[in-house]
Amino acid sequence: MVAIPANVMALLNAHDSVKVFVTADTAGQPHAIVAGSIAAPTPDTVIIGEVLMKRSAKNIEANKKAAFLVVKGLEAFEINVIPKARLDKGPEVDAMNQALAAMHLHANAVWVFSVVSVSDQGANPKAGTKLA
Amino acid sequence: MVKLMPVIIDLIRRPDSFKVMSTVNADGCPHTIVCGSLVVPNEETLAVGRVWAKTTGQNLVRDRRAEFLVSEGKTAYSIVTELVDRSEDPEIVKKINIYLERMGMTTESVWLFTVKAVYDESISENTGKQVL
Repeated sequence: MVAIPANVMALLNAHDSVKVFVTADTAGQPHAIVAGSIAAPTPDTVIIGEVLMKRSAKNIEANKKAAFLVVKGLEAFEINVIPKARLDKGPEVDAMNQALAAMHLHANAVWVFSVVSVSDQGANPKAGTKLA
Repeated sequence: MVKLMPVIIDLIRRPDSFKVMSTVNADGCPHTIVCGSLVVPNEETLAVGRVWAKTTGQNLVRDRRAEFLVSEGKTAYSIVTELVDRSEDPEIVKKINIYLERMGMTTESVWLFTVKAVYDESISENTGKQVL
């Protein structure tokens, strides 16, 4: 089990950080989207709401490798993940939609990912260093 | 030949728009970095300063494809590109270094990418629509 370090968890769950979900198709074409519905409920799990998600959802069905990038100022961290589940109903989906309601958005499902590794991607000489 | 629309060029040129660049690792896992120095030398080309882009550099040697995501507020575009050249053109390097110096960095060379397609990734009913 890989655990996200506490400082990265804090950034991931902060409202003022920018979060990106990155996938790739099976032919190797990368695709990134900004998503406000990314969170880490536990240090080894990252979730995202399936909101207006087209290419990303298709990619993750076909290529089970994805990454999250979380950024604030010059700080940035990349979290490599693999999908664990796609929940289309239940308390997780209800909680996600409750949080999204203020933005007038709706999640069709919640994707649950296991953390594979975490690396520093900040604007500093440590960029690329594996943290977990 | 794909030419970026003025609205997208304007978004890229705004110093406070959020910009990331994605490539794919040899194992199929996507990799994304923040681009503090994305410039548009002409409407068919994007230029990025080469600073601490270790994994990205290795990925581009193996596969020239990269995707840029540019966003601000609810507006976002993903720009599908291909690496065409590395340049040390002093004019482009000078432009890039204006952005990089704000973050305490400089570069002596840039990557040049040709634009292949653009998708709307805004939070709207047009999400995922190819616009160019």
